[in-house]
Amino acid sequence: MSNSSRERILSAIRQSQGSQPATGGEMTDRLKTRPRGPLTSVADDLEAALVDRLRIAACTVAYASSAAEIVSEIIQWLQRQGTDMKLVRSASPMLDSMSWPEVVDVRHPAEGMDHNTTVSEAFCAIAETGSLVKLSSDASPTALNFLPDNFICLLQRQRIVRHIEDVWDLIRKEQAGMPRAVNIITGPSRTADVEQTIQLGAHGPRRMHVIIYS
Amino acid sequence: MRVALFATCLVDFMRPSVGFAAAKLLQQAGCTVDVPVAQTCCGQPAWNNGDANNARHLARQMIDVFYDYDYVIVPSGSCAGMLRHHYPTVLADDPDYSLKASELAVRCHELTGFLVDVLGVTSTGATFDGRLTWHDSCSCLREMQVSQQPRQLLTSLPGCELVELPDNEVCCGFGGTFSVKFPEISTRMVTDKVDAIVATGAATVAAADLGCLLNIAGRISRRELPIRVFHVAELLAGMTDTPAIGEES
Amino acid sequence: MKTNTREFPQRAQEALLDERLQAALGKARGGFVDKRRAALDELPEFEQLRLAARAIKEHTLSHLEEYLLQFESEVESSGGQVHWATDPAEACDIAVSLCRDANAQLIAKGKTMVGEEIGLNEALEAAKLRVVETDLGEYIIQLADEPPSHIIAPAVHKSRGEIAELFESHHHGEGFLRPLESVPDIVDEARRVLRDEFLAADVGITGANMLIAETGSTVLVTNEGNGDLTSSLPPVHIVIASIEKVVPTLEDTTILLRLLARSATGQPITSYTSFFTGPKRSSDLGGPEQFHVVLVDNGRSQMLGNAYRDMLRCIRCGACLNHCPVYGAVGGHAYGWVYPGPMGSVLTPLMIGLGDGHVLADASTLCGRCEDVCPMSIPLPRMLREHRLQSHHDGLMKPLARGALGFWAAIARRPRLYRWLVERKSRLLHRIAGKRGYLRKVPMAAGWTNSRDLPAPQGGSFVAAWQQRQKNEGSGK
Repeated sequence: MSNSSRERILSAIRQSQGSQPATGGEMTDRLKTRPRGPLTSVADDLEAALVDRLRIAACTVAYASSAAEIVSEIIQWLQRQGTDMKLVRSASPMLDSMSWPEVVDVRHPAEGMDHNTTVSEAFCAIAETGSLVKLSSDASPTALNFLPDNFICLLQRQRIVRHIEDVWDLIRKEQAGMPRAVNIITGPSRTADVEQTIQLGAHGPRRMHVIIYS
Repeated sequence: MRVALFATCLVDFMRPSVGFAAAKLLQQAGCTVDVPVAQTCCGQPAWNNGDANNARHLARQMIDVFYDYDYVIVPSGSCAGMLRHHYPTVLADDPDYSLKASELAVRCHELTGFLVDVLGVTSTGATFDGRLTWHDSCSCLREMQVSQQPRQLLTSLPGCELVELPDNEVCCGFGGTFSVKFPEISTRMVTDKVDAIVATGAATVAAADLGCLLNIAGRISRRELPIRVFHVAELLAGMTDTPAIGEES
Repeated sequence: MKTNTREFPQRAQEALLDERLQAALGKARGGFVDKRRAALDELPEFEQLRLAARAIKEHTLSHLEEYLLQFESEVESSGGQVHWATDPAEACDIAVSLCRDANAQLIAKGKTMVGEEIGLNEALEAAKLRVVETDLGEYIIQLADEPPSHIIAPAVHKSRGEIAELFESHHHGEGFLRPLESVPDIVDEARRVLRDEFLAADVGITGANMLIAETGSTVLVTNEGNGDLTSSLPPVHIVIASIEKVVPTLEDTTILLRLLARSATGQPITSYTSFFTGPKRSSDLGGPEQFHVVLVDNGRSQMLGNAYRDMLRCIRCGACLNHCPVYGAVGGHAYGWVYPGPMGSVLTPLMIGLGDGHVLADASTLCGRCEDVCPMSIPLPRMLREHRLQSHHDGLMKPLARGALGFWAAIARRPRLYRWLVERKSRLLHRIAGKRGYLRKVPMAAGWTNSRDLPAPQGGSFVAAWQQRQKNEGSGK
C-alpha cells in the first residue's frame, strides 16, 4: 500500500512540475557544495559573545581551569541551589578524570537517571546564539539533557564556534555521520503557554549551569 | 504638464470637494488638469470579490479613458493601486489590453506621492491650526509606498502639529465590501482605530483614502466624538471651511 | 472530516462578545508583535535572510521529487523507515499500524499541526490507544476537548483560571496543590503529570519543522523539551511530516532556523533545536529502537502545479496570524478547523474544499500586513483573491451580494447612465440627511448603520460639477 502511494505521490509531483523535469545535476551540486547563506554578525570575542547570550538565555556561567576546580564549582553550585548532592554524569576524558568527594552520589546513566542533577560535556558551543551542542552517544544519552531539574554542562574553551554552520563542519570533520540526536540547547526548558507568561522548567531542566574550562 | 485626474467613484459620489482640492493642488504645482468625463469606477469591488469578467470590462474601459495621458493622478491609494498594480494582472490574458495595462500602470500615481516624488512639491501654502493625526491606508502603505510624502506635506503646513497614530499600520476595517459582509469584525477594527485616534488627543484625522475616512468618520459620528475627519487633499489645499466628513453643516 | 468553517460568521460574532477571549487575544497579540519587532531590530540581515530562504524553498520545490528520494535514502541508511501517505486516512492507518506492531498502549505526542490536519488523535483513540499530548498548550486543549486556536500557542485563548480548573478536575491523586492558582504551580503540575507519561509511553509521535535531505534528519524546534523527551524515551519514534518540509542541506536548514523562532516568538532561537537521524546506534545509551517518518501529501503535490505553489514555502511560524487584525479580533476557533488566520484562509479551502472553506477567504480586507511580515515572502492576499475568483466562478457567492455587485458593475460600465444616477442619488441622500451631515439608517446597509453613521454625500457628482465649471469658465480646459 505504501509503495503504490509512494509512486502516486512522486508521479503527482512530476505532473505538477509540468514540462520541466528537473535534472539531478542541481541537487547533486547543492549537496556537494552546501553553500552557506547570510550569516548574522557576531563580535570578535567569541567567548564574551557566548557568555553574554548564555546569560540572556537564563543560564548561569562559571569558569574553571582544572578537574578539581570543576568538581568544587559543581558542589558549590548545588549547595547554592539547596538541592541534594546526587548526580548522574556522562563520560568524557575530563569527566572521567574528575574525582568526587564521598558526600556526592555520582552515578553513570546505565545505573539510572532519576537524580535531580546531570553533568555532561558539550560537543561545542555557538557564540551566535548562546547555545551548547550535545550529541547522543554511548558516552552521553540524550535523556541526560532533558530529564533532570538541574542540567550542568561542561564546555572546553577551545570548542566555541562562531556560527551554527560551524557546528555542521565540525560534525562532518570529527564524526562518522550524524549521531541519532544533535541537540542545540539554549537555556533551560521554558513555556509561555499559560497567559503568555514565561515559566522555566516546563518539561526539561529548570536550571542550566555552564562551566567553561581550559 | 497635462495630467488626468481620476476622481474615484467615492469622491465623485460622496465628496466632490476632494476632487476640487486635488485639482487645485495640481494646478498650483503647474499642471493642467483634465477630468475625463467617461470615468466611472476602477473595478475594485468586482476584482476583490472574484468577479473577473466585470473587473476586466471596467479595466478596459478605464484604460480607454486614460491611456493617452502621461500622468493619471488619483486621490486614493486603493484606486491608484488598482490601476498601477492590479490592472496588469486583471488583463494578463487579454491580447489587446495586457500591454496597454502595463504601459498605463507606471503612469498612475496617488496624489501626495505624485506631488512630492514627481513634482517635488515641498509645501502647499495652506495653513492648519492644531493637532492632527494621520491614518496610513493599507494600499498607500503597501501598494503605493506612500507614507512619508503626506507626512512631509502636512508637517510643512504652518500651525500643524502632526502626532503619530499608535498602531498606524493596522487596517481600519473598511476593505470595501468587507465592511458590510463582516460588519461586526469591521466595527471592532474601526473602533480600535478610533480609540487610537482619541488617544493621540488630535482634533483632526486625515488620510489619503476616502473609503477609510468614511468608515472612521462613521464610527466617530456614531460615538459622538468631537473629531473632524478630512481627506489629505482638503487639508493641503486649505479647504477646511467645508463641513468635515459626516459633520453637520 | 468534520469542520466548522461554514459557521465562521456566527463564531466570529460570538468571539467578539467573549470578554475573556478578547482579553487573552489582546495580551497575546501585543506580546507576539512587540517581541518579533524587537528581534528584528537586532537583526540587520533579516531582509537578506528572507531572500535566501525564499530561494532555497523555490529551488527545493522545483526539485521536490529528487530531494524527497534523497531524504528517504538517507533515513534508510541510518536505520529508519519512510512511509508515504497520499491522504489523511492513509497517514492515520500507517501510524495506527506502526503502533499496533509495537504492541503500544500509550502514545506520547509532541505538537504537530499536520497531525491535527489528518485527524491523528481521533484515529489513534478509535484504535483504542491512549494518547497524551505533551506540549503544554496542546495538553491543555486536549483536556478541554478543543482544537488548537493558534499554530504556535494552541491554548492562547485560555486564561490561567480556566487552565487551573481543567487541571483540578482532571488530575487526581496525592500531593497536588489545591487550589491551583499561580503560573509556576500550574506548569509544575503539568511537568509532574506528564513526566510519568513520558516514562511510560510505548510510542512517541512528533512532527518536524524541517526534513533534511542531505542527512535524512528531522528537525524539531521547541521551548519545553517535550519533543525531545517524546522522541528519546519511548522505544518507537514516529515523525509525521508533510512533503514540502524538505530542505536540501544543514546549511539551508540554518537559514530557515534564523527566521523561524524570531518570526514566531521573537526569540533568536528556541531552547531546544534538535536534529534526529534514525534510531539509536547500537552503542548508544538510550534512544528509540525504531525510527519512522510518515510523509503526508494531502493535496500538496497538486499545489506545486497551481496558483497556490507559493504557499508551500510556509514554515508555520504564525507571524501572519499575530499581525492579522481579523484573527486578532476573533481568535482561531472561529476559523473552524486546524489552520486559522491568513495562512489558514489560504490552506483550508485547498484541503477541505472551496464549498466549505470559501468564507474564510472572504473574511479579509486584503490589507496585506500578513505578506509584509511573512519571513518566506508568501503573497497571501493574492492567493485569497484566487480563492475569491474561483468562488465567484463556482457560484458560491450569496445571490443578494452577487446581484448587488453585478448591478454596480453594470452601471459603472455605462458612463452616462452612471453619471446621471450619481447626480440624482447623491443629491437625494444629501437632502435626506439635511443639516445633520449623516444618515442613521440606509436601506440594505444595516451592516454599516448598526454601528456607524453614514456620512452624507455633499450632493452632486464631482465629474459633472467639474464639467459645469469648465463650461462656465468658457475655456476648453
